[in-house]
Amino acid sequence: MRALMYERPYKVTVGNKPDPRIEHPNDIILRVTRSAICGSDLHLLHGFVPDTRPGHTFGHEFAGEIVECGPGVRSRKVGDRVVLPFPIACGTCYFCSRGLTANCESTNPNSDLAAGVFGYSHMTGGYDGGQAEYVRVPFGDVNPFAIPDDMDEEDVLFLSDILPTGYQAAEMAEIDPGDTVAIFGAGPVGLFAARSAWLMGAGRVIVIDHVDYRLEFARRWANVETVNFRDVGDYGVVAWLRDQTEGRGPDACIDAVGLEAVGDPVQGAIGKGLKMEAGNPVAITWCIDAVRKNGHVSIVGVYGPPFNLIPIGTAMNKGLTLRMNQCNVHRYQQHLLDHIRAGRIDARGIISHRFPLEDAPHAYDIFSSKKDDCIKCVLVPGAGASQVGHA
Amino acid sequence: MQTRHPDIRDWGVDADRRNRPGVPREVEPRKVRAAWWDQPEQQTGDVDPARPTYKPRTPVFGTAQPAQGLSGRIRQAAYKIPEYRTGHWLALLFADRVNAIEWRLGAGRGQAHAEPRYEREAAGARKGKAASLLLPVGSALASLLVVQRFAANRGKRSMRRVERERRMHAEHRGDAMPLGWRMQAPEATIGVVAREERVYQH
Repeated sequence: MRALMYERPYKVTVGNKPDPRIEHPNDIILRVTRSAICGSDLHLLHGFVPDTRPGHTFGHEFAGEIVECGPGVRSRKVGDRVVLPFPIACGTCYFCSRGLTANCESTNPNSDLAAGVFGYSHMTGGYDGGQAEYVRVPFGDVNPFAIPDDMDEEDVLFLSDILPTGYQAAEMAEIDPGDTVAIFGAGPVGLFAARSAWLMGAGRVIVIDHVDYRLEFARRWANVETVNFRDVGDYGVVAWLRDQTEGRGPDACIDAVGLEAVGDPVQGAIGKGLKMEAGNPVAITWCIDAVRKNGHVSIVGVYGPPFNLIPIGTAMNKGLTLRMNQCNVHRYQQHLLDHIRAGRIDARGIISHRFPLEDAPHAYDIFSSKKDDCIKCVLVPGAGASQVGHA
Repeated sequence: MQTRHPDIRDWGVDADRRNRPGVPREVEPRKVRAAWWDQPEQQTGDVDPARPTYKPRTPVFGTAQPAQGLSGRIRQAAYKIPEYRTGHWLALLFADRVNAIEWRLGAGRGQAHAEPRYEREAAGARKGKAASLLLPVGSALASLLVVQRFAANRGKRSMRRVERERRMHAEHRGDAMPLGWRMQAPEATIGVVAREERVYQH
């Protein structure tokens, strides 16, 4: 089959690999029809995630059609159209049974820090991902989520990761009606977090970034206030947010950026340049500094091991509540499907580019470099260049 | 401040926390979706994933890109270092860079024939090349620092163990341990001993 393959930092290619096969009675094989590139895939591409091996196929946001079922699969059949959550859950372990499928203890032999994840290095189990023509999916009775017959793959594609992640980010911010919520990052997760904050009754939603076209898109798509942190003067975005909130700071701050943030040259040099910490944690730092005392900080931006330098003393002395996790996608999919169907969230509206799988390296390039006003790239395996195009 | 937004469609529809699927964070234990097993069957096969020595194989695991070659040996060594130690992760990063060099030399491509289709555009390519040099150098330096620190810690730990045992024996014999007592340190660990002196000499 054709599949994207990681070669070395900043280098991916598309090549031939053996087709995946059933390796466990509860496996299914999926023919991928849509596969998105996630911002966290860029952390892999840029060499920040330990145990990312050459030849690895990325991709944890995908949908497709089942082409083969293992003998132990009872509730799915060949031909079903499904979308996959990015965490691979067994459905019955201590954590899965309590709703914490992102912390499943049955799918990642390599590390204690996460469940198995599709296409996210051997740190999360060593499963090849969905930026390929076919993919192996463990636990076919638990992980696939059926796509309704009247809906297109692209309508529900983001139920795989970024929409539930954005929603969970807003949920972990424990928003009460009327709260002011500051969201760092105007990427896809930040956009969905902003939309979710409105659904939870936020009084003000402010999105912070430094990429003007993304801020403009956020204003248009999510009806939010925006600020470019490079335009707010000498005292920076933390002081600006306090000015906006009677000197106290927002009630909740959401980090939807992760380890490749920009904005602090020192942390950038230490974390991104020398790799002496796991990337640049400036977004968390600003969240902690900006939020009001006893406020909530919600972290869904991805950070890898080993550690980051963050002002935990400030968080302690301000009495903050810090909440974070990978997203327990399984418990959100039906709820958010209802929101999509009701027109409350235009999930496919954030797709800015579509490419054939063969053009995946080019898609990574424009997504990573934020060229051509790119918001979200979707790959279409099996399609020719003439069959796909920009949104 | 405006607290209601009639202009935003379905504003506040999930304001009631009972409408939020993630509340409460942990639910009463129940199986997820159509799971019908109590304990999943163990995946078998030839591939035994490199993993921490204390961790058993999980019921399922990925079999993509098994550890092999020099990088595989480094990975096996990394997995012997506990995950809570920085050295574990830095050794894995170092193995990644070695693995990338192996890949460029052609090893490991037997199962996956890469066919480069795009090089990054000129500026990106320069940045990529610079980064690909910076990362292995940075990782190697960091690994050296960690190994050095690890060695110092090992020395410190073994000294403390000897010290503890001597104190226990002394107490067992009824001897009083004089204040300021310390074992003689080898020259290589003078810095460590200086810190220990502060502990015992007040």
